Amino acid sequence: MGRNGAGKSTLLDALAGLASPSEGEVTYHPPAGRTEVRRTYVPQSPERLLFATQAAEEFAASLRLSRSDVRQRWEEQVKPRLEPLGLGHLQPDDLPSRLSTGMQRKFVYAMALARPGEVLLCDEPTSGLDAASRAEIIAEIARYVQQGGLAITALHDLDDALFAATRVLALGDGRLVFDGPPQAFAASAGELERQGVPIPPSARLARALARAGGPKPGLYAPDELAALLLAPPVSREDGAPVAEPLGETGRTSADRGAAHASAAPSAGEAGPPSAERERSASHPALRWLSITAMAIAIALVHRPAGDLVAVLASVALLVALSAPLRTTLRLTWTWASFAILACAVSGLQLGPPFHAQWAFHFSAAKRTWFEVVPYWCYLQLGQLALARFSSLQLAALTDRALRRAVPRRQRLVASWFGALATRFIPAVEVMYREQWYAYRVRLQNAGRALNTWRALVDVANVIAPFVIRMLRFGETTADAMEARRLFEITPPSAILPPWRVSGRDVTATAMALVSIALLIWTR
Amino acid sequence: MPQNTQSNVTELRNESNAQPPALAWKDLRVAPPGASRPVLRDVSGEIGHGQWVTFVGPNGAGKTTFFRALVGLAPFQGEVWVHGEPWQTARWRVQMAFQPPAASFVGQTVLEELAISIAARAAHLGDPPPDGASLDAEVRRWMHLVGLSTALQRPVDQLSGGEMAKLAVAGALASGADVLLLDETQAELDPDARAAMREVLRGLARAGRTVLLVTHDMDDVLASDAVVVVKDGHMSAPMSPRAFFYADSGLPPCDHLGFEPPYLVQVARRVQRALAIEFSPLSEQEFVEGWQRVAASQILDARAQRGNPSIESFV
Repeated sequence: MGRNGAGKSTLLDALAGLASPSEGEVTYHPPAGRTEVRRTYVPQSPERLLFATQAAEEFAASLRLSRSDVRQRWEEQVKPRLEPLGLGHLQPDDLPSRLSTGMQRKFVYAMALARPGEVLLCDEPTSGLDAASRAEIIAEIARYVQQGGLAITALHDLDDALFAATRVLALGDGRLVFDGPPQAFAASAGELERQGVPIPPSARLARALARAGGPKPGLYAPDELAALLLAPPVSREDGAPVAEPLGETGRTSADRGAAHASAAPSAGEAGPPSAERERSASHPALRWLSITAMAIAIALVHRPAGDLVAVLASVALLVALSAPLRTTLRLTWTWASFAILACAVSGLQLGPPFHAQWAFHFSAAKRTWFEVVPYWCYLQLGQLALARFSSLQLAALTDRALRRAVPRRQRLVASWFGALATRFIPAVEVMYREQWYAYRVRLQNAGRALNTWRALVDVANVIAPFVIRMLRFGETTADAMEARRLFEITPPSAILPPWRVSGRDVTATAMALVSIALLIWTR
Repeated sequence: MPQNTQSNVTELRNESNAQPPALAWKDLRVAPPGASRPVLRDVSGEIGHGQWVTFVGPNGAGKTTFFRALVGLAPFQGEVWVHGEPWQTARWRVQMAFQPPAASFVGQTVLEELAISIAARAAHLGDPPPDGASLDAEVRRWMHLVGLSTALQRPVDQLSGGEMAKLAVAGALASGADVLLLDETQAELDPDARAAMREVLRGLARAGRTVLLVTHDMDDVLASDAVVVVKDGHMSAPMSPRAFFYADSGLPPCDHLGFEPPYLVQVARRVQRALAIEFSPLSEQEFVEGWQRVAASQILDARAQRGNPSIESFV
């Protein structure tokens, strides 16, 4: 238990072996006669785990069987897993990724529970499900535990968690603040709430009653609490308000957890707020014009001297406009790997059977090198062109630039289209990373190791669900735009910082002009 | 304490008689493109202004379709009025929050997202677009209204789920909407964020705005003004949460739909049954007060009448 950002998902990632703790270690004790403990992990939004293929193939990947085996055993092995979750109607050829999100989530659980390991790790298994489905999932997990499994779940439905679990771990701000039985958790709810642990409705009611002279706070089934409330006043401790107990039970056992993992709140949820708007950013129009002119000039030159001028001019501009060093180096690294590969390919003469003998032609490699150098300049200039521009600023600028030339309707479409493209580039990157993570989870659940060869073969299993998710996301965006009637709104130009031509702008423009002159001269 | 479904409905209707209902629909029939038969079949109803109404029902019953029709994403037959005006001219006063909220944000920061909404309102009303100084101030006002405390320049992708939900609501309000449609926006939030959102929605309704929320969380229903049951393309009239959770006779609508009633309701029903008294609290405070009232007198009375000292036999 714990709030969003308390470290529940990070802890589960570490317990599942998907994230390695920076300190401490996770130890599992395998049952007699076994060398390792197999873990099955179902992370948040489990629909990402689907490969976007037929139901039979999804099960084949999880059960490590062939597709035809799964088809043959559908009735005996697969259907009994689907039925308790209300998915009994699914056929081997159905596409789970076309079901509703709730049904997709249940399908992933059915798959995970078809061949579970000794440990089942679930992150918010009931999230986004309707009432009946929630109960089905909890019942399935309970059944797995009855059969001897160990289930570790993060749950938002706290009452479900308390009444179903045998042990509660509570996280507050990245630290373990409670470890004990559910009864003890409910009894010390007040203390735990002060430490930032969310309190279930049952414990809240019990506490409110205790304050009003009711029974001591604790974990009571509805029947039990009603019975206590109906008990004659004499049987209560004089009916005096009961002081809230301090959570000693929770504290003492807090360090006895079998699994130790460092659990820091994930960066995405608790990132530091970014700096306030920079009112004196460099002038965008001047910057764009200089950079574009330079890029065109560089494109026209393919001589050593021209390349040298281009590189020096780009470096000078990077410094003048104070581009972030990290991005610059990252782009340089990307470019360098590409350049080395290109030069090697063009210069290398392989031996038999392709060529008479092995050789390396330096002149060919050098020619390629001079052709590749300008691309470094383009990458860096591109960085400068886009830097410190937000999607809305882009829309407002486009709208302002096209005001005289283009009719209103077309202008608004162009402006907002540009804004949406810039806005969703980071979102797409996040989605891709999530899909890659989901693929690793799937591999690990099936007991397979990740290696380059497998990743190449399986690339469709990452790309297909990624594309589907992107389309769904885009669909929601399109709906929202339509409902907001975005294309009828002029981008608010009040959002643009009051740009003035500063000394730095003049310097940058002058530098660009000098560079262009030099480039033309080398030609 | 109202116990009767019918009287509650009249009570709700009367409140909204003073001015036209925030939302009224008549013979509404919605068949989304590709659907073989209409998802909503000739439904009629209305929702008074300043109300927070929850919509419950099984998946696929037509709740989302109803919302999509109201914001122009699903073509419909029938008539809809917003504050007494025909939908066609007043539809911009109805806005919807989507799931996941991140997919609906166009601005890259909190400031930009709200600036777009403010510009949208200016466009609908024919006002001049806001200028820089007043924009910042107005954005801060909307953030304050929904209890969103974060930097104006915070990128929207860095917000927590609860903050995103609040930003989506603030955006809808800033665009001039006073009828908010929230489609399962509570589902992915943690319990604290959900409770905080309930406070926000309560406050908005108190300030005269109208909120419609699709939810599976019975604690949302408990906190709302009224609940509408959507099932098989049909819609019930708005009923009070009390009528939804506590029925005079027979199965309460909540149980009839297969929802598990909240813990508080489960305990209260047992007390009610054991003592044969009116006890239908909707909040912890109501529960404690009601229990204190009856505890002293009723328990002893009941025991004396039945002459049975056993506690268990009451439950």
